[in-house]
Amino acid sequence: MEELIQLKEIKKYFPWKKYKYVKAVDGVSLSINKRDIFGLVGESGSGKTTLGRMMIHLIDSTSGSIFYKGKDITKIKKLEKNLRRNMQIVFQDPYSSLHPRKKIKDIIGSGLRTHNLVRSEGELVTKIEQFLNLVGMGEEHLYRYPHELSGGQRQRIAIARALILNPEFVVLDEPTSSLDVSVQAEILNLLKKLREEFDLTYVFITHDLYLARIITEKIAIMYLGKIMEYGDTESIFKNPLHPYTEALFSVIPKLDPQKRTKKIILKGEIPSPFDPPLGCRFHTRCMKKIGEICEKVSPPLKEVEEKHFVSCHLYD
Amino acid sequence: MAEEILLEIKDLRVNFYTYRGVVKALNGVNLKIYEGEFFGLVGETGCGKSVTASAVLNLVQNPGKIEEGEILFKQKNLLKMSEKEIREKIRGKEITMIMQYPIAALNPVINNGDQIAEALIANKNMNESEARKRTIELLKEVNIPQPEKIARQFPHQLSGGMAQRVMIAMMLSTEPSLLIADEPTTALDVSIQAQVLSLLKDLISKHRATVLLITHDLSVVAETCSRVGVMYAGDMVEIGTVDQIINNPQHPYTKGLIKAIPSDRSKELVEIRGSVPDLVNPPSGCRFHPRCDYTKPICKKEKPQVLQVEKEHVTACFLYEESRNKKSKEEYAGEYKGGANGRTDSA
Amino acid sequence: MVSNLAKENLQNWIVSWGKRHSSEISDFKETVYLIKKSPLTMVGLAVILILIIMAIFAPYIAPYDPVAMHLDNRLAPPSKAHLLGTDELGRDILSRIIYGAGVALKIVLIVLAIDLPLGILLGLAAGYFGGWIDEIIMRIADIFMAFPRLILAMAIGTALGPSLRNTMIAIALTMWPVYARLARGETLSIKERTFIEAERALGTSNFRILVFNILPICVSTLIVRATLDMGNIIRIAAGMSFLGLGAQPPTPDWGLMVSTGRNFLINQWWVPTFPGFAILLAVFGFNLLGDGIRDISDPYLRRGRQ
Ligand SMILES: Nc1ncnc2c1ncn2[C@@H]1O[C@H](COP(=O)(O)OP(=O)(O)OP(=O)(O)O)[C@@H](O)[C@H]1O
Ligand SMILES: Nc1ncnc2c1ncn2[C@@H]1O[C@H](COP(=O)(O)OP(=O)(O)OP(=O)(O)O)[C@@H](O)[C@H]1O
Ligand SMILES: [Mg+2]
Ligand SMILES: [Mg+2]
Repeated sequence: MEELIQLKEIKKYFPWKKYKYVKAVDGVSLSINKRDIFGLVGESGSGKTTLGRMMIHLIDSTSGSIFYKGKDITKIKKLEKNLRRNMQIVFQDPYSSLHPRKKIKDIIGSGLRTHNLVRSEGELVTKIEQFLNLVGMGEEHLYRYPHELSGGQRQRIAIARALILNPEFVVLDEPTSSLDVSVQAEILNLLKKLREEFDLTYVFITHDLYLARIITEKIAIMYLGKIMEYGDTESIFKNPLHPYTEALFSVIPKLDPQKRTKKIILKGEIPSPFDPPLGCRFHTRCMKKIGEICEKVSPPLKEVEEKHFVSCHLYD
Repeated sequence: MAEEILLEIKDLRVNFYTYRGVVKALNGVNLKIYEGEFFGLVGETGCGKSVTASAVLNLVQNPGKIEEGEILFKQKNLLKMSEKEIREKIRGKEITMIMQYPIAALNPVINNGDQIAEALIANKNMNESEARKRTIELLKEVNIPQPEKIARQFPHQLSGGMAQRVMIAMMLSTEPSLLIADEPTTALDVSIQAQVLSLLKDLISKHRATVLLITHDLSVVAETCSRVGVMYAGDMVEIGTVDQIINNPQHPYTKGLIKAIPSDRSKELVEIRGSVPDLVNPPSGCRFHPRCDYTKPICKKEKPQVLQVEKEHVTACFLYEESRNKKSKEEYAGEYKGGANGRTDSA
Repeated sequence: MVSNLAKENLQNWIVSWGKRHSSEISDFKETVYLIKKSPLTMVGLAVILILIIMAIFAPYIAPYDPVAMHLDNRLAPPSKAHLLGTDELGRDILSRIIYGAGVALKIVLIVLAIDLPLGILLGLAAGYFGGWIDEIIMRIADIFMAFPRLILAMAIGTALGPSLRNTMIAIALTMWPVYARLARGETLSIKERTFIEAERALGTSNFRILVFNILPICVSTLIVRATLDMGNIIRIAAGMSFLGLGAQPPTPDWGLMVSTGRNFLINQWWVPTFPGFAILLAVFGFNLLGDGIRDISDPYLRRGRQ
């Protein structure tokens, strides 16, 4: 269980107009082991994408540190080539993540050229063909444009583009949320297969708890830039401790009527990230609020069960 | 369930004439919606859900053409009505539609209150002060906090969930008999989706409207609807009550769809092999046959007929026909020959 | 033997080229299909094609020398010998109009050959690097855009002295800010798109992102815009010639012909009218074509593909 990446009190405040900030990520600490599939779960605007982009140094953090194999990458301005190659990302929307006027060959081949991983044009084509086959597509797509492919095929191209650089660590930012369920199953099975083959570590971002359960081994539940609950996926599923997690579970639409529990319909909307609620971020919508302490004191992340951390005053 | 039929779609066929060829978007769709029910229409991208909805309002977009079929609404064929009649009597009055992106459907330069008030003035012959009063009531009804303030704001100032509620309020203002909701919660978060769906459910039972809910998420349908229609590549492959579809699916596509949905049922996701066909050259016979695990020679040749499984439950699959014939053969061994007469054709 | 091998090689090469470019080929076919479906675009295209043919083959088409004077046959009305009549110096108007097409097209091409690269370069730099580079470029552009285009072009033309070359420079100077602004706006929006972030994640350098990812999209947007502007350029150039700031006699320039012919409008109407028509038709043709190209390049119209 070797640690690959560790975040310490990482924050990202986006400046907005004068003197105002979007507190997209506000003090997150967690660690991910080699070969883990780590889930980041949360609703829109909770800061999942921002956190994922910081992990692979696509954007700078405002404060805090990120240790990648023991090295603090937040202090580096421009990542050295080898590190850049090792950390890759697959984006949520395959319709916007592929250049509309480039052919598949140039889309997948761009990284190979930058990192001088091939010596000749022939080698480039062979390598791309190999990866196209790996993600279940044929050579005939080499000279196609993205608009000629379906959503699932495009996402396969995006996966091939990331994996052809032979990375160690891949952030999957909702890789299936814009795809149909049957295509989603295909892509997830492909991702699982590729992890075995290339010994990859994944961060899997999703807003779908059931999906997280199927693919991840550990999850962190985020709300407004903070982690609410964090631990082994199974233990969180068996016994959700945070009221937010509980509510989230209750409202996911379920196929089987007998599995349905009473829905906990949260009141109101997610508060604005400009000035998030003081104290516990969730107190404005919480159905188990215990009192003033929730409004004033931000609860620390506490290990309540073995390897199961919660940030809630209920467990003080 | 009220047994009165509100909307009946018969053999609806829609083509789009594009550069690549004729997109055969709807391939003879049959559907009945009873008064007062919450009907769900599910299927994957491009299977024709939105085209079905736009055909009901006779709003099929330009290269598209309704080739044949009937759309009976309260026993009257909407396809035989003139555009003027539909505009004056049906669209926005008897039948209204909620879109996936409400902000795009609302007028950006008119404030939220006036949008609803205008709909009331135009459709309900109210005067301005009456309309304004009713607007606030409607906004309250869709659980909007501080309705007076929201009424003065503009659509772009609303969050997705709020905008969808304003849209619902606007649709309800005309007291439609049929409300078509095309992916009303797809762009929303689960917690907001739950709010909107429960609101929709409450309001519908209160206003006694009928809802056609279009979504690609079978779980959403399972939670909210009473009956479901499953579409695949322009065909209606199975219709039944939620329980029948979820617990006793007959069509291989429905079965596959259920297994592909992440749920409590299993830790494995089973994919449906192959991909959605191009509707310019759809597969012959049953459009699902290239992806089906049980394809037989006949599946490639003929379009399967719609067969009754149980009361309310129909499917269009040769596999079901065969298994049923086998069963009936066993039951009446010796007396009964062949299953040709055992076929109950029904929509 | 050798030639057979060469033939086979060529054939293989053609086949593989076809395979690699099948997307472009079908794209081109679709464009042709869409043009055919739009009658107005067809009309525009036809007018422009006629214009181009006139410009290239003028010496073969034109019945007379456009500058040869025949003072004995001044101001002759349209007849079999002179289909559109002759002007005040006895020159054949039809021949002058045919030669004039070349002058008009030359102005359009040269102005765009200056402005497109200039606009793209400045706009790309301003949009991608931002900061003071952006400030300087855009402030200068603002100054140019603060004046009405024709008036600015006239002022520059007057300052530089009347000649065809100076007209082109003057028009080019008034038009570049349009392209620079457009390119800057495109760059700003493309820069934020996910596919550019994806390139960054791969480690692609700024230079490669700019040249291979942003530039191609900018160029096609600007070309669409340029086709819409071609009519304008002809109009402004004609205006300047009319005022005596542009082409000088005896150049067969349409604007100049209208200008010198206007004294004869009442009694010898054909002298200014036919060149006027030529301007009208050319502007009209370019505008129709420009509109058509804009519509055809609209991805919504091509949606049927998916
Ligand atoms: N470049 C940016 N500039 C300003 N604000 C930003 C920027 N990127 C993200 N934000 C804000 O930061 C917050 C978190 O955004 P983020 O994209 O990380 O959320 P998310 O959890 O990925 O949501 P989603 O599920 O919608 O993808 C949001 O409020 C968003 O508006
Ligand atoms: N304007 C159009 N031009 C050409 N083809 C069209 C047009 N509108 C729809 N189609 C085709 O009709 C078919 C059905 O489309 P429709 O929009 O009904 O799908 P849908 O089931 O609503 O999918 P989604 O879940 O993506 O909304 C598709 O194959 C689509 O390509
Ligand atoms: Mg995100
Ligand atoms: Mg749709």
